[in-house]
Amino acid sequence: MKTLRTVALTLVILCLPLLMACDSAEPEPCGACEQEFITRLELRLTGGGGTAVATATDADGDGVDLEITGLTLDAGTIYTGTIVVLDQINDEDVAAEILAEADEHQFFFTAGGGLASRLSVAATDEDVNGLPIGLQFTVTVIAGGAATGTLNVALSHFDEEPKNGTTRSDETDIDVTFPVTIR
Amino acid sequence: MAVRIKAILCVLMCSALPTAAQSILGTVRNAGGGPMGGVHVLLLQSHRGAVTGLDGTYVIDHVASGEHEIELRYVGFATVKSWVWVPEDGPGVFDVVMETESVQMQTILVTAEGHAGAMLSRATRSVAILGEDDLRELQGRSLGDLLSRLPGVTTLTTGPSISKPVIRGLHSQRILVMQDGVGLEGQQWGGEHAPEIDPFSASRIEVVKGAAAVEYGAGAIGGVVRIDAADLPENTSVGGVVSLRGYTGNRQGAASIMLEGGPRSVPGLGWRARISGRRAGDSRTPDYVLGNTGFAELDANLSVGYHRGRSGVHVLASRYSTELGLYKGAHIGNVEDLLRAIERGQPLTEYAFTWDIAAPRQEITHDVALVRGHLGLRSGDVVEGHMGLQSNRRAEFDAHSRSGDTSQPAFSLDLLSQSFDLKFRARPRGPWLGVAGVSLVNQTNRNGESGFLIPNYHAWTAGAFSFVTRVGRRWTHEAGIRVDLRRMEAWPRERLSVGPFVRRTHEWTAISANLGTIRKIGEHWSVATQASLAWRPPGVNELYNFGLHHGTAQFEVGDPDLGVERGRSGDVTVRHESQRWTSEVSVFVNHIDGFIHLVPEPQPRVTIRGSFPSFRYGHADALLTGFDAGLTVALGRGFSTETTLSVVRGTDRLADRPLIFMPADRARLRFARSLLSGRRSLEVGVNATVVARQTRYPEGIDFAEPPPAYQLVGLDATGRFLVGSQAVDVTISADNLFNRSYRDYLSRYRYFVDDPGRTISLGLRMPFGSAD
Repeated sequence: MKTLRTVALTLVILCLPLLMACDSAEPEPCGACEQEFITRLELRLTGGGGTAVATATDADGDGVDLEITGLTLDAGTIYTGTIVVLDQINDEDVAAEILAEADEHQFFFTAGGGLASRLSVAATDEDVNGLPIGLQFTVTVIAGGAATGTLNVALSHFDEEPKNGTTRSDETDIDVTFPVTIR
Repeated sequence: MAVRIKAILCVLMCSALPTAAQSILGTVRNAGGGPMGGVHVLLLQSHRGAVTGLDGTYVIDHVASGEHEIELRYVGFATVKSWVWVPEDGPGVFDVVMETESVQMQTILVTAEGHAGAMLSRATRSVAILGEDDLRELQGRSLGDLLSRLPGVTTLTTGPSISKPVIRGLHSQRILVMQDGVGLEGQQWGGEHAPEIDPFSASRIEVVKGAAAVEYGAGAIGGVVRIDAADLPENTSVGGVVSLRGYTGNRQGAASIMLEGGPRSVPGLGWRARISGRRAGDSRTPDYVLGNTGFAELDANLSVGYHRGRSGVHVLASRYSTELGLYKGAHIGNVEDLLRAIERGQPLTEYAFTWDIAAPRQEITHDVALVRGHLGLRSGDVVEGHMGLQSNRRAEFDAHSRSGDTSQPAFSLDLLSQSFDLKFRARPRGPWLGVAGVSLVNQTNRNGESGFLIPNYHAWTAGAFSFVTRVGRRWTHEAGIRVDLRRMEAWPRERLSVGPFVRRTHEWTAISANLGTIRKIGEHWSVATQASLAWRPPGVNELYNFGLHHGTAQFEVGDPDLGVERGRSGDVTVRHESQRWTSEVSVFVNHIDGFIHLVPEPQPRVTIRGSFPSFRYGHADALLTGFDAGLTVALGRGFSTETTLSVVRGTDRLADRPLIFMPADRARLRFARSLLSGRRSLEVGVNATVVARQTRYPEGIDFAEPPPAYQLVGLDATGRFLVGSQAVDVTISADNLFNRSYRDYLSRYRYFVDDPGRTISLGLRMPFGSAD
């Protein structure tokens, strides 16, 4: 019995430091930095001697303060456009990463809200397999009267299924609908 | 209950018992009521015993909970043989009146009736048990698979690699999983976080259905799963068991080697070491392979126990480690993607079978170090305590990471828990038994360098409890009360997703209580009733979660102002035990006020990534009712049938609509025949699982309707053969024999893909040395 008590006591003493080990601390301030966010998306269009810019900004990347501004375009004009994608939390140019993995990504542009017959968007850049990427594109605004509608920009990530240039994937990295006004 | 009469009768062959601190005790009297000293009392399986004192009392310590066959002998008196039920929290009591030899009793009858008596009064709650024989037959299967055989228990699965128990509709943080008597402090933040258990190490699994907060503390509002290892051997040479199991389907292989011994030179010393592993590739449904659903698991444990007299100490160390893949097709972007995937109803690409585990995947390691001791006092009372240290490390790897390097986890969480408890078990005083105790848990969660799912936190939980039991011939009564205090400090961001990290403190105190009775009616029936109060503090994820679930494209937001859940529950359990027929039928009501669940928000969350349905943790007024039943009937000529039934109804009374994700009604039937018995044995069976469609669900919240009803048929054959003098247990089984395509409502992948198809498995178990 005596040995048993000694053993028990020894174990208790040995375990005491574990109590101290169980201390807590605040997280590393940069705890969330590894995560990828998209905080800003821009469409920059040039054509007809003017420019048009659409932006979507989301400071925390989780949609808490999402703000979207739309495009105002001139009828009968062809614009050339580029897409800017930023992660301002980690200060990274996401568009550059998309370009680096161009064979796994593609932007899809869909005009809606009555503009389907007025807007046509085509990618002008290609990945190594000759398939469109969409970071560079042209927007053709067909002549006609003033109109309003939307332009949806979606970035598909092809991880599982191969990219074929026409089909979207189940992994959408970007999906924003911008208001569009044609004057 | 998935137990046959035969299985019940030889459940828990306890060898020698330094590990468990339970005991069997009682008083022996003669027909005239006088105490009988000098009576030899023996446990037949372990050959351990005691001699009654002058007052006729005896105590046998270090006895595992469960059933024990006991024998009492005294010259000139008829030998008494019977079964004694030893509950989890308190000694088994067996008082005997010995008759002189001229009043002969039929020993066999006494044994069977003693057994029935023990089973009838085993608990005031509904309890389902997988005993040693059941587990021997099922060895190599996953924990979820094992538990889903029990009435009232279903599983919530995230593909073939992750399954967690659902008891009467409740799971995760509402269920306590206990291994070797200590609560498993794992991370249960979501449906895809499974308990960290090596099922090979279990010799007995018991599911306590319904709230059991007095004994087990705050949180056990839905039930408890107890997993216990066999008692350590003593005074024997080294022996062991090799277990192997292979599966078609995901081509899983599982193996476990156990060695144990108890050196004769040191009486009272016993040890056991076990190493288990399993490896599986991609699962397949009848029509396609499920990409990236393989897993690899490696577990080891070592335990050493020593006891002398009525005191003992037990040291245990174990590691569980797993790496598992998550189905790639379930990693989707936004809600549009989800709806497209649901519409398609099958994978977009044809996967080829592979053993590789790629991102998205999880890596989990769970280590346990435990010291347990008990001290028999001169008064006959026992003091016992434990000290445990658990470290749970979870890393989850996303399909993509910012740097493109998927070898870095998207987030990692380390949870370190210490637990202490001290119990005083009073020896019986008249018909009264009592236990009082205190417990303390200290827990720290720390996020890794990468992103986080939940904030860092530190929590203390302290509790004190006491319960008493009065055991009579016909009636057993028990009453218990417990008070718990939980204090938590968390470091979330100021506005959950944005702002600086701030310190928040929470404190909760609540009382749990329990009242129960058992009434034996005749030799074969009993009715148990119990009512309890239980509570659960909100989990850290419910308070502070903020972010996206990739599998279901849903945005989940915590609420730092959540209060506690309070449960009031009651159930009535009717038991029958006879040689022909064993059954347990239980009806329950569980009312949880302040039930914390995800409430859909009116507006979806719109981000640059697209829009996501948004849910916020909130309170509901939940009412769960239902019944579960287990019935085993011996039909004669070796034929037998087993039936289990589980029915749950969940209602959110505040919103006046059904609760989401309640298990559908189900029944399992098995028809078996024993062809051989004795040293060699053979039993073949055919089983059917029938699951109804869940018709009660809240409209307009889920993305897809509950899947249709399904029926699965399986075959199994279990035998023990002799190869020379070596016994070998062989099990062959076929699950989903007809390779049916089906989806279970509680499968998280049901939106995208079917559940696995036909699987045939072959298991071998070879005891060697003294472990035969």
